[in-house]
Amino acid sequence: MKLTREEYRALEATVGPEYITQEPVIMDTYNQVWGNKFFFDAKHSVRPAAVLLPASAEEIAAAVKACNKYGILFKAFSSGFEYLSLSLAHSKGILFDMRRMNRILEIDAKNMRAVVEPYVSVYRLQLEAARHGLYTGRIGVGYSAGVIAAECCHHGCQHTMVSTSGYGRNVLGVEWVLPTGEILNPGTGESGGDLFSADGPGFSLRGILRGRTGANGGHGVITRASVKLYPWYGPKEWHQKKQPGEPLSRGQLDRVPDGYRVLVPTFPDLESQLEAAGEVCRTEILYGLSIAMLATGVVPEGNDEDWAWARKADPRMADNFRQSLVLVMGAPSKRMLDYREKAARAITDKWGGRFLPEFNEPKALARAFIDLIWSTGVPSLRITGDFLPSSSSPDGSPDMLKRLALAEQQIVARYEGQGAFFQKGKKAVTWRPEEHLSIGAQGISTALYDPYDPMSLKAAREFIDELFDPRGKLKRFGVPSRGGCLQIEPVTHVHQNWGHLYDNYDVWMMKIKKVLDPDTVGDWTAYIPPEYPDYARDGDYVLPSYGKEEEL
Amino acid sequence: MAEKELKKIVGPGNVLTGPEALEEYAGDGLFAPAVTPRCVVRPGSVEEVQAVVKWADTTMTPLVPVSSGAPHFRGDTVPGAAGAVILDLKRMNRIVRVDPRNKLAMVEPGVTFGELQAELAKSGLCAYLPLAPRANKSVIGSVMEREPITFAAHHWDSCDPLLCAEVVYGTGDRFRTGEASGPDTPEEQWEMDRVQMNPFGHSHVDFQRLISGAQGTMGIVTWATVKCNYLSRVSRALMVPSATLQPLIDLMYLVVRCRLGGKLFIVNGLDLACLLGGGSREVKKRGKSLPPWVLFISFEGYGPLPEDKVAAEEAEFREMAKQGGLEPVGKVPGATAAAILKLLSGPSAEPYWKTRFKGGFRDIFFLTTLDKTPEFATAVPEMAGRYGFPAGDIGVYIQPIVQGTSCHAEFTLYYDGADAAGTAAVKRLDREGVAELAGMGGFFSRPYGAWADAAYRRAPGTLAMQRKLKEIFDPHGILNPGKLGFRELKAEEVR
Repeated sequence: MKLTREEYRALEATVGPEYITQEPVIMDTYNQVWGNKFFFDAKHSVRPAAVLLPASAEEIAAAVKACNKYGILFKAFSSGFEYLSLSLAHSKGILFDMRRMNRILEIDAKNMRAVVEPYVSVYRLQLEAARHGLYTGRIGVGYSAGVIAAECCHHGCQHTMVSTSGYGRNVLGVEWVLPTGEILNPGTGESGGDLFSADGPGFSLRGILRGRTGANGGHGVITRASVKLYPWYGPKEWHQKKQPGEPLSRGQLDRVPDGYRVLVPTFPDLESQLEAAGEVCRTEILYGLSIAMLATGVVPEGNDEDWAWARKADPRMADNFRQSLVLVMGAPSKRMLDYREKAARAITDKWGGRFLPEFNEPKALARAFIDLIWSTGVPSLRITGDFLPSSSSPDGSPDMLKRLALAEQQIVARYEGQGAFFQKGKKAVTWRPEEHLSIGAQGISTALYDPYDPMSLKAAREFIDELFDPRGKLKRFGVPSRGGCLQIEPVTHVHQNWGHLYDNYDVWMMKIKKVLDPDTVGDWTAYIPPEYPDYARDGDYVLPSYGKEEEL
Repeated sequence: MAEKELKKIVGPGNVLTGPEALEEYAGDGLFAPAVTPRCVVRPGSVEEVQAVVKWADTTMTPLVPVSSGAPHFRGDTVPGAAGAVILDLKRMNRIVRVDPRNKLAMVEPGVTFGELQAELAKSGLCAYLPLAPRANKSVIGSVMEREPITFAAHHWDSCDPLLCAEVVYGTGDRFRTGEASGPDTPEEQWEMDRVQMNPFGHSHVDFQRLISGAQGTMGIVTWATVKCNYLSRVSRALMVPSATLQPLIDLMYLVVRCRLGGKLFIVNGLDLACLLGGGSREVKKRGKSLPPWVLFISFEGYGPLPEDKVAAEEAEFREMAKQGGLEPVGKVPGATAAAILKLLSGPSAEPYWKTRFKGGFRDIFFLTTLDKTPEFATAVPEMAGRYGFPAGDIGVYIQPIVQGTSCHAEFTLYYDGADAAGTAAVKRLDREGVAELAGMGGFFSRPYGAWADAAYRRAPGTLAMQRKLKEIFDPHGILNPGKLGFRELKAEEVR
């Protein structure tokens, strides 16, 4: 749907003619991401009516006011990893591409926080923070992920959550253009002080900023944020080298930096591996942890090589991979590192772990370190070009996550047996601990399918339906409703199917959405719709609506 | 009539109307105007809480939730207007579950820190405590009000140590936050190893943040799970005395940056003297012999190598202190670090430590960053002097929070209620002084009583949004009206 001349001009007036476009070719660069085939049955999701490149909160506020006046949907987009960032409920919708707002506004090294604009990537902040002896958490989806996207707007899980937290718990302040065009600065920002707290006066508006997952563009635009930083014990400059057969983006360190140590113990079975992982987290010695996700080897440059490597992997090696941990420890002194390593070794011994030479030689440890601590992307995308973060990667106790992973693996195995999914061999159970495991961990389970193989695609949808049906085997885990990657409301109907079972959270959310966005101009596809469309049902269960690209 | 209906809900013995009972809830000293409630209701279950809230919502009756025992000090539990009903949650006092594997406990609102601490010890755990809370302080009351804990390294988020909660909104609807949400009862969730541990969400909204720091205006919490810690098998403690605050702040930055140690804070000599006990004369005497400023740190030994942990951390700390020309010690004239550590393991002995010096006290606290605290530590006594309050009667407590990105700065004005001039000065400081401190950048994130004026004057956008949200969860404004930026119910509105 095109904008009328009047609508276009009203938007143009907010950012200037150079920074707005509705060229179809350009529009189509904004609606092709992985996952589209799964959800919309097309390579493209809804094409935006225009893209704006604003330079300030004021410009965005003015454009949002125009959206209210003309009934235009909007959504902001920065790093744009997935369908959630770009989906629009209908084509009378615009995107704000935030690339012009790309400044690191402040690093307060003493008080360990940074203030950034939306287009600042984790990569850039990591490089800059390292110069101050600080660090920002490693985001699971890769180094190009936006800091604000991860902390304020989307899923935001991190591989270093054991020591750097995540999921919005690092947010200390925001500047927020509401869907009405008003600008809100909760906490110290509004009172004119440094952005060190977004809580209060009184109850915290961080509660509506995001939950377990972000609003995915559904409640306005975050134009700056203050985030916590954590200590960095490595060099002030990263010195990575391209290795033979590796792209520069997978550059490596020669060795683990002095302020860190890495151990890769391998355990005799799943039980001992997970018990050791739990204990080492609770001992509070870790900077980063990876369970059954090793990257000690050289990474193939091309996807085909990666595929071939995955196919020919020695099964014994694969077993060792699955039953290993990567323990990264950091400290300001040799003394503290010695204690931490000694504790890690004691726990390894207790649970029967051993240190295989091939995982623990210096180069392998350096690779494991950089993979865990720096952001290197989502390997799951390499094999088939797509994957399903199946049960929405829930959070909870390690025991719950193990129970869920094993239950889900039985279902995955059925699809793998049919040849519909890439068979990853024996299963691993893995989770990412949060805050020394004091608030639990995030489970990770993926299923690899081929979106352009009709049989595989059909199976993927059946698989997700099976997992997401509250009448199914996983009902008591309730995880889809907690807010994961597959909530896209015109399609999967997660809120509609689960809300009434979960204290009617969806009803409260709809009311909040109404307060924030009375004219419903903030795109709601990955947040909450103003009201539920009347889709086909099977009893109370609202059937998924794959392929419904355009709702209006 | 109202009492009759309430008796039907909670039983006749749990509706109190006697003058003595009502008097306990009618005021909290100097700072909140005394208002006698209509009655006190003591529910015994979430269903009873829901029924009372629905009744109040229907009758437009102000409902004031209370979970800690008297005396109260901040005005948030005193009715804002006549006709209010006190919802006293002390009957709901079960420690529902202790989970040593996941280091958490589920408690009801009537559980005090002393009770929880004793129960946790049986499982090798301990609670995260604020600085020597009063003996009858509710754990949930403290946690929901974002009271800072002394274990700085484990304070990740302003809501810590809160995990999940069950809340009854002003509509009477029940809601569970975070992982606790769901169709199953908690007991059924435990069967699946869902232990109400993860605080995120539900979904796109973090509902628990909307009830934290809300002074009971957004919902009534009927149970919560809280993080706990391992009980130390080996522990040591040190003090770093200093004549001035700045060197200790410099040291504090080094320590919080690498999450060293366990309990960690700075107090001035007077606060330390009060903490250590004794009567007024003893406090005064000890206060004179103690150093002007003390940084306290404990090293807590748990995990597989508790001795090694404590030894490494202590050595590390000593080296950091040395770099700043400071000397950690186990003992100063009038105090030992070991004695302080013992005091910090439970609630305050009676009488409550802040009443020991002069009987009366008033805390003024706000958030700031550590580097700004010396400025406030100079400004507050100067300001007190201008209002005629003796600078020497001010206690100071500085607690790093949220991984050291900010700190809780607390100035305690110790006064004698029989001293009219001193009392008047405290009252003025409580209103005018707070406005000055807010002007200097002190962030009153938990504005009690009259502080709300100063806090919200600088936060009109926040207030406007909070009022809209309040209308969702408490559409008739019955939950603790008159607190924060929410208006009183007018007499003609109360049916």
